[in-house]
This record gives sequence, structure tokens and C-alpha cells, in this order.
Amino acid sequence: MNQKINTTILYFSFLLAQLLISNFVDFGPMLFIAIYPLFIIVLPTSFSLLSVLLWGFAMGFGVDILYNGVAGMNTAAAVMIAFLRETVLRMVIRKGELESQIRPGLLEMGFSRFLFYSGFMLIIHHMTIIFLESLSLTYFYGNFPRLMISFAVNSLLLLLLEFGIFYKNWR
Amino acid sequence: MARRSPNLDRLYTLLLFIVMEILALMMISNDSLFQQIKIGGIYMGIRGSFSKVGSEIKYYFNLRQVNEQLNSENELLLAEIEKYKNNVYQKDTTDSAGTFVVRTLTDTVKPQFTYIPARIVANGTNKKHNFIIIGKGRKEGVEPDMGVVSPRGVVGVVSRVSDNYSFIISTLNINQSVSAKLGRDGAFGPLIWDGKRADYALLTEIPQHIRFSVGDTVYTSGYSTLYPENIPLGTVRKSRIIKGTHHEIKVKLFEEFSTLRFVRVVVNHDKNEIKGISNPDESEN
Repeated sequence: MNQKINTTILYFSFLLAQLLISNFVDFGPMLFIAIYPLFIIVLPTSFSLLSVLLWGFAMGFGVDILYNGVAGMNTAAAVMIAFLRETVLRMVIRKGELESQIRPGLLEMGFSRFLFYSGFMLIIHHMTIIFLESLSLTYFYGNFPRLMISFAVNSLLLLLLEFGIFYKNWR
Repeated sequence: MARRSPNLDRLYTLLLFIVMEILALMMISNDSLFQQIKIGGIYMGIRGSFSKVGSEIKYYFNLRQVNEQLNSENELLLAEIEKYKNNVYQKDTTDSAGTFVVRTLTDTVKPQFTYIPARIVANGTNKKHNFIIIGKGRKEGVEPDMGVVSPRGVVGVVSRVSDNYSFIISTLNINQSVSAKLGRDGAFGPLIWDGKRADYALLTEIPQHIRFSVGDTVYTSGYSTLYPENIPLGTVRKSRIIKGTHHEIKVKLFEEFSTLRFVRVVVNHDKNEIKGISNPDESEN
């Protein structure tokens, strides 16, 4: 029960933060800023795939409907990473961690494993968005700088956020 | 009692995943429906609470630029008026017999284009499909498929309208094109955005034999019903030949979308007449 309330609060804070950022920050076509993937990345591992999918859909849909881009783009990307989350997590998780209800964060996993995990999730998210934008692979070379710049900036932002807000006993 | 197999669960989630992705793709393809929702009452209410503060702050910090912009526009308009004044006095003070008459401008011609000034509520340049929301809607006479211009060029096309807001497809949208021409009397072709930089666009389909040089100005052609003729759009930067048949010219736009604040919606009074000629079946309304 407590976990549900926590997740709901987190959901609304991430949604609000994402919307504020998309409203205030605009660096031109080479960089889009997405911080909401962190919400899906750090959902507790005790959540079933089904509920992760539903939260992912809710997050993407919320961002899409409250933001003046093409509706559906963020939904598709969020659902995609929600679905592939467990697969990616299995690549970095240690034995027993999946069952012991850990939150897959920086504190619980350590820096290098978290970096790999979040980076992998982010690149899936960004590639989904960028391929949906042009709906083909023909513009791949044109889109590549956009993909790489956004990925670099977003993963840095994501690590900072995770470190600053959720990495509690860092002192 | 038979236990549910874990594979069945996995199947259900896979099914849900596929359904959700299809839903998302359907949302992308029915985007105009969501545009209508986004400028509807409830959405703008939620959005207004923080978006307005943001745009006010941005506006404050750009005041200097806005002032300069207004100044240069004023000067342009004054020059224009001066030009027309001369014209009017030369033509209208004497009639064919040479006697002195005074005519006012208003009773001679009805202008083909009039403008509705509007303020931008939301704007963006960091996507492949950029959209703009402006604070004028159906009540002020804005309709879908009207062009939107600013003092420094073309901004976009109205896609959806609600009572007080309009949703505009920005020129910085990879699906959008503007009919443009090289120089005042040059060859024409579509000006498209390639999604790479917010201040550059591509003028395509210019035949290979056409000569031009770097620095030439690109204007709107006036062949579409959206924009008046001869609005300066940008200057030629570099070009290359595509498939040996036509030029693809990189154009530096005059428009700065990131600091854009005030725009004007173009009302074309002859639109229905022009549409009626080109496809007579739809001319009833």
C-alpha cells in the first residue's frame, strides 16, 4: 500500500518536472530532454511486468497529452522501455536481487551496474522516439547526432538526478 | 484445480504490450484529434497555470530583442507607406483629363489579405514535428488552413482552432513545406525543413540551369493560398545538385523561432474563389 502511494507521488513529480523542463528548456533540434524514463527505470523490482507496463503507459500518455508535440511518441517509447525493463535488468542483476524487492537504483546496484542499466534503457527509449519521428531508417545519419547528443545529456542528467535525490546515505 | 501457467501470464503481458504500442501508433496517426483536445478548455486551463508564467519570464528577458524587432518592422512599414503615398498622390491627384481630384484609398480596392495579430502561448524547436499554440481562436476569426507570418518570415499553418486558441504546425516541421522562389522573379520550389538546425531550411526542386549566388534572397512565391507574395524568408548559403537534375539550396532563415513572440494570422479573402477554380466540385461552401 505504502509503495503504491510512493509510486503515485513519484509519478506526479516526474510528470510535473518533465513538463516544466519541456516548457522552459529548448536547445534546438539537436537536443531533446527527457527525464521521465528514470521513473520507469527505478520502479521496484517487486512490481509485475504488467503493472510496470501500465505505469509506463500512464507516464508516456501524461507527457504526450500535456505537451505540444505529436501525441503518442512518448507513449510508444515509455511502453517500449517498460516492456524491455526486466530483460535489461536480468543482464545486470545479481542472484536473488530480483526476488528481494530492491529498487534498481544507484545505491542498491552500484555505479557501474546502474550506469549500464540506465544507459541501455535510455538508448532504447531515444531510438524508439527518433525512429518514430521519421518513421523510417533513411534519415539515420541525419538523426544520429541528435540521438547521441540527447543520449549523452540525458544520461548525465539522469545520473545527477538519481545521485542528488535518491542516493540517500551518500555522506 | 489447475494452476495458471506462468507462460499464460507472459502471453497476457505480451498482448498488453502489443495493444499499448498499437494504441500509441494510432495516437500518432490521429494526431489532429489530440491537437483539438490540447487547445480545448480543460487542457489549456491546466497548462495555463505554469506555461503562462514561463512564457512571461521568457518574454521579459527577451524584451530587448522584441523592441529591436518592432523597431525594424516599424521602419520597414514606414518606408512602405512612403512608397505607396507617392504612388497614390501621383496617380490620384489628377484624373485622365488632367483636373485635380482627391480620392481616398479605402473606396478603390478591397485588400486580398488582412491580418489578425496574435501572441504565442507555447512554442518549441527541439522536435522533428514542432507546433505552436497562439492565443487567438475561432472567436477572432481564425480558421484552419490559414497561414501565419511574423515580421521576419513565415511561421506556419493553422491546423486546429478552439474558441480562444489555435494549434499551428510550425515551419520547423519535417512534414511542412512553404512554396518559395529565388529572388523576386526567380524559379520556385518547396522550402522544406530537414530537422537539423532551427535556423536553416532547404529549398528544393530548383532546376539545374537556374543561376543564383550565395546571398540571394528567397521569397514566398504566392502560389499557395496561405501566404502573400514576396515575404522575404532567408538568404542562400550553399547548394548541391541532387541526382544531376535539380539544386538543393541551403537557406539561412531570417526567422528566429526560439525568440518568436508575436505573429499574425493571414486571412486570404480570395481563398474560396481560388479553391473554386482549382477544384470546382468543392466550391459550394
